[in-house]
Amino acid sequence: MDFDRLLFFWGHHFVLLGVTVSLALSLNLINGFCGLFSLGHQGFWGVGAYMTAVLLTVLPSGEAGLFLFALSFPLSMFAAALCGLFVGVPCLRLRGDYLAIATLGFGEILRNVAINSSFLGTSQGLSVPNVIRTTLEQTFGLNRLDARRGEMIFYMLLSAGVAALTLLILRNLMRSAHGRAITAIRDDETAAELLGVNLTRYKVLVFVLGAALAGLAGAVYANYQRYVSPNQFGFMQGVTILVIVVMGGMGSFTGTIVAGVLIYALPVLLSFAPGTWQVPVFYDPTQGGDGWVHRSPKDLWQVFFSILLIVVVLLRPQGIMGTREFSLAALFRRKPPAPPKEAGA
Amino acid sequence: MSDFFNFLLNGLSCGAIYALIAVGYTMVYGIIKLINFAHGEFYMFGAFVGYAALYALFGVHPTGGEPGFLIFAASLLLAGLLTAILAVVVERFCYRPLRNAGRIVALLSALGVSLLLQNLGQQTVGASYRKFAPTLTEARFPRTEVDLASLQPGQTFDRTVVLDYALRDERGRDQQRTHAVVLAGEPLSAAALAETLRLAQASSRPAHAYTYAAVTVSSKQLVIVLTLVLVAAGLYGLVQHTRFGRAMRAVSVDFRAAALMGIDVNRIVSGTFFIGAFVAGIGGFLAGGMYYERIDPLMGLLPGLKAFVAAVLGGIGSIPGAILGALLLGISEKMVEAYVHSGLRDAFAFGILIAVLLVRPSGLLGRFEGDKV
Repeated sequence: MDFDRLLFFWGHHFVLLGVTVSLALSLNLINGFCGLFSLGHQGFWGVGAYMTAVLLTVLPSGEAGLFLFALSFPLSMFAAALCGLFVGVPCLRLRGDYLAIATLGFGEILRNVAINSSFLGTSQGLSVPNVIRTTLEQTFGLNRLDARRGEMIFYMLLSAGVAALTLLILRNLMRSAHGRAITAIRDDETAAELLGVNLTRYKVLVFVLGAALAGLAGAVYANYQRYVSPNQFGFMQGVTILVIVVMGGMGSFTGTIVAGVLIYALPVLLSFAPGTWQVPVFYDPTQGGDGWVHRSPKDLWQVFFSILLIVVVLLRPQGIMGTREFSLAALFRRKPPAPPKEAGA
Repeated sequence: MSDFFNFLLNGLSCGAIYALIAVGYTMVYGIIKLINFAHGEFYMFGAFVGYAALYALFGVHPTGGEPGFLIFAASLLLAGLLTAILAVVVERFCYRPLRNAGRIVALLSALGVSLLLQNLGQQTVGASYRKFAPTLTEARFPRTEVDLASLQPGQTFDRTVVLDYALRDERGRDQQRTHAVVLAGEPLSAAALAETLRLAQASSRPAHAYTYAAVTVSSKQLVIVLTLVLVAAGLYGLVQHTRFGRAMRAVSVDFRAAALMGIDVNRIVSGTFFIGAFVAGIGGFLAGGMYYERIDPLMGLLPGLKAFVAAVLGGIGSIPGAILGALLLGISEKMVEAYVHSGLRDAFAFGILIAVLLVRPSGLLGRFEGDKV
């Protein structure tokens, strides 16, 4: 049935989009709002996902399945937060680019540990049991197709819910006095310290909270994909999230959402391009034929994506939204408020 | 014990490869305080330019014979030059406009360039490995020749004996091929001896038998280490004894003051990128092409990160520090691989990075620079 094809195709992308946006939002807290430049966010995401996978595979599921499934979310958050604390406390002594490299190194270490640990399934990864579908089939007695539909709808709701929850937590945090302290650290660390902001406390808080939310996204991802492997949490995945944050505007939640949707959706839309759209990109006589290498628009997306990053950084380093937020109320207000001053770099 | 020294030599040549990349990292950071993420991609680019030069200009096919010395040297030079030009262009259009925009913004641009070169490589030349044409016969030294005619089937030796024969390639040069390896204490099989002599007769080139010392170094490792020595000496002369080098040092101490003293800062920055990328380009050709004989668009990612670790270990901004750090990193990586766990090599390298950043951020030979308020 046509409805099923639509549901499974777009539902799949909707779930992954939700995970991506959640991750980008929590990275924006660290990189955008607090100005700590982390390149290791994929590591926290991976820790959450692996925690879920280990919990659901190592312990006997079956009847306890649904309970373990529910437990996987707080436990993944906890594991990632612990990791965030472990990395954050020593690394936060570093500034700017040094912090970026240290967190990048941390992400690679985690991946390396997973590759070499037989408990974590080495490079083969771990499979996660499909708790939701099993429950729908066995407890509710649905047939296979209905269970698949139910599972997809469940995960769409879950993913959207997690993204919304992440947004809510972060928005409320940033609207509080704590939020102003965090922004103050980004704008001028020395001044913030002189005004009595406890730098270490807030930096660790930001790192741990960001990591915990990434772990939550990891739990959704692992449960939905039902498979985790070290290569899903590599540097490139981290860069994609980072680019979303940079393009949306470091310090703007709505900007992150807009950029997340754009960057996630564009390659999906490009995959609809007819197969005859092949662009000759390179002349390589070793490849046989007439020597011209052809690529489809979807393949070229990666190249376009990199160019987009460079162009945005060169022309509009503050991203689409800068540090402003989009709000409907502001659109309908009579007198537009004075534009907030851009944060100095 | 001899194993230990063989690991040491392997680590040294691996470290020399890192050093060829790390030098550029450290020079650029010393001058404009930018972590040039794209530097590993310059290394990759050099390897591909060398591949294209060997193939397109000189007609050396990946499965064919070995190039002569002149072609090898010309490809090497071309790899360095084109990489250097690429780096100057990248600096001009992607880094220079952001020079006053803060370190993180410039870092993002560097990340973008790195991604662009990787993705462009994957979409044009393809993501899979390519075999690089053999450019240098793998021979190990020191070795002594044994008279082949005196060997008897069933004879045993107290050292490893290797039976080589030669083939004549289409250019009329000898290509050494190894037919059989007889380990110490094992009898020489009559069939291996007879086959080596038959192959030698078939190609009408002489066959050889060699015994090897317990600790050996390969010809390729020698070339790489020798290149590093030349590069280090050249850079020392350039930085310490030329006007350009003095200007470079001045710019690295104080960018603005150097500009006020009439130094053309843009020219110095371009020159630094040129030199750093030239060295990385020949490093890519020598390491990816000559040493490992396989290249792919992502080959620069890990060595680039490792070279950065090496530069931090040695003290970022210091050229001798980068070389020292790279050699230490290469050696300790091989030791971890050999004596601890082969899979933990990369984790160990990044562990070193974090440890250095926490304990001594200025590295082994770097100067401490407090953050200016």
